[in-house]
Amino acid sequence: MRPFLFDNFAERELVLSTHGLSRRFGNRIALAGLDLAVPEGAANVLTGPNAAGKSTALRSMMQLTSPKPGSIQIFGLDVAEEGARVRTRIGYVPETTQVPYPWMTVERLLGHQAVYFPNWDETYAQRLIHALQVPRDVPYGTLSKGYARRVQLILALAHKPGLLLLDEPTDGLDPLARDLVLGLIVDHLGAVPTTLLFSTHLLSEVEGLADCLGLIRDGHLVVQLDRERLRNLFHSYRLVADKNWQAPLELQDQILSSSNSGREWEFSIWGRPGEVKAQLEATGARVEEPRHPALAQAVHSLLAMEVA
Amino acid sequence: MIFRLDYSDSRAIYLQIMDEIRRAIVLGSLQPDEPLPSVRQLATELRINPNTVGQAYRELEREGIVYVRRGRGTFVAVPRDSDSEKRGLASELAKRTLHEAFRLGLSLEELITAIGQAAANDKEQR
Amino acid sequence: MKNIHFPTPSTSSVFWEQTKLILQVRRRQLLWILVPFYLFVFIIELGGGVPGLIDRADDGRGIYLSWVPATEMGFNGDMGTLLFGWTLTLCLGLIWPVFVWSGNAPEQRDYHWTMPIGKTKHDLIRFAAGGCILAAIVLMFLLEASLIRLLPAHTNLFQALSAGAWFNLLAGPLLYYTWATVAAVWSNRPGLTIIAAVFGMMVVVVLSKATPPSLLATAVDFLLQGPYSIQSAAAFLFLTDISGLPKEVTPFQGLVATGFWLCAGFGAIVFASRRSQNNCA
Repeated sequence: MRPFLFDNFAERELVLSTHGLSRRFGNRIALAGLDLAVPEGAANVLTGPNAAGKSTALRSMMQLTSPKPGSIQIFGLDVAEEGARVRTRIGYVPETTQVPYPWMTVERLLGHQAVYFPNWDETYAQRLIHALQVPRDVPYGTLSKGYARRVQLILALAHKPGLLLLDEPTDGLDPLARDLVLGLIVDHLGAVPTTLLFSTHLLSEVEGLADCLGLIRDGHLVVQLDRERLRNLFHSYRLVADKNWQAPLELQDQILSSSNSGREWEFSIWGRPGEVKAQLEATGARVEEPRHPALAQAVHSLLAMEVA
Repeated sequence: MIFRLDYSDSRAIYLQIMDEIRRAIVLGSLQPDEPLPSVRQLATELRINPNTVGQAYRELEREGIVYVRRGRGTFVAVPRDSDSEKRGLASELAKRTLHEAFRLGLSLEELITAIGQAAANDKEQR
Repeated sequence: MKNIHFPTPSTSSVFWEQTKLILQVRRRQLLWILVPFYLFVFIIELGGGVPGLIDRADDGRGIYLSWVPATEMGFNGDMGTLLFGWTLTLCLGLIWPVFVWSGNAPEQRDYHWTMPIGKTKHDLIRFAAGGCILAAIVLMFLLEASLIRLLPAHTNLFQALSAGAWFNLLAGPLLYYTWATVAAVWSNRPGLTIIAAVFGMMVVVVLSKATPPSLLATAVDFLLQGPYSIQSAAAFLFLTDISGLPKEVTPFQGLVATGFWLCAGFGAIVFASRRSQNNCA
């Protein structure tokens, strides 16, 4: 018995979908048949261990890597055939903060981007520069990582794309910069209806933002669910029991993780909370109200489950 | 307004937002016909999805607690029944207290005795 | 998704942006090359000679630096200095792609390729922009030399050169630029690749001359020296005009060769562009 882990959002309008997206580099398999579905208007978080394939997936969507085999549809167009047109409405922030023109000032770099995106909103760009306190006339190459990231975000947001692809945008930033970047993203979502695909492994900060979660491991998409389903997928239970207490046998399959200290136990168990609690109490333990897992904990437990 | 969100609470986020707003109304920190923060502002402040805030506001509007003026924002409605608000708040408080008591290993009777005791002491001191 | 509008940028706006970009990329280095070059051309055209090393058996001074008049270079009148200046533009054409693609080696080209324009098309627009700037540089050189040579005691270029020679003067550097661009588009170290290729070709030519006639010699002859070779396209009409030697290449042959080698070079660039896209992770 396994919980329902994979929703392909068939009833919803999809901005992005991949079909059997695969890619290998020499002997290393980066992606193995990924079937990602990103519903319109949602904030989708893509996560997984390092080198799981998140970056490769995002790069494939931007045609920086070609799927071998597999296909990607964005806005109803096939990326391999109409990549250039698709990119007119995508805002992309890559993993790296490097840009081939580090000698360009911020102002010049924005001007360069504006040529390529006829939808560029100069007023909005200037407002963002001002709000983020980015120095205009400083060469991009001299900016610290936090400021470089801000500039990259402005480059991606100012033409008001329908889809934002962000590859670990807060990675390597100090906590203040991370918070600022998140605030910028949320503020933009509030102003412009946008679909967001955000890859990260810092799940605590997207706790409130995520609508859907995709979990990639070794190039496979192992989980794809919306946030509510994920929250109700399993719960954590704290209980107090006698010295030689053991968890009931019928629950063993459903227990994802457990920890024990003296008479106190804590479990992550999937299944209906009312039933599970009753089953635990039937063994004589005193069980607290089940709690929903935090996003990070949910993912951790899911990864543990996948291994088992 | 100061919001406190608990992601592991059994209530969904939008419900928590609704509760916080109801609390603010009952306590008087939000007066009738005063504007609520915009969806965008509140989402940015809390670092949560604007859709979630929007959902909370829509539900509150459906319940008649707030009203929307197109282009101007969302405003607090004149409460038709402040007693029902108070009852809702009391019920929330009772639930939270029960959970906490249980976590500490107290039974319902012990809790009620303690509350009665505390109320009596409080009265004496005034 | 219905009724979504995909606003692609116009080719001309991308072209102008790339032009501006190329002029700004290594502005200082470019000025350090162009200003001395035009100054040098001014001096040698005006003076009718070049500074050079002389070794005269009769004056017992050994090898020394002196002024070599153009009339002693073995070309018609004072055309030697023009050849000298023009050879420098050929060299510029060879290294120009390094400037054009500075910062955009294949492993750094991600940002360039994420733009909402076809990747190969984008590469070609950059090539075209660089080519137009190079053409402008060469035209300014020709204008400078022509104007100075309107002075008395100088050979008027407008009378001395045929139309084919003028064509060569402009097409030569552009031809070299086109083929050197293949290196810049494909390789992460274009400067080294170009130098290695030039040396390689020189070695091949020397070898083909030293060894008995063979397939290699024939191939070298066809590619590098014959009437339809790249050398013919780049230089022959002009060289014939200024050296007074009998014409081995007709204007028609020169034109065909130029057309062929430009198109082949263009095709090579498209090929290199596609290869560089596939090679990157």
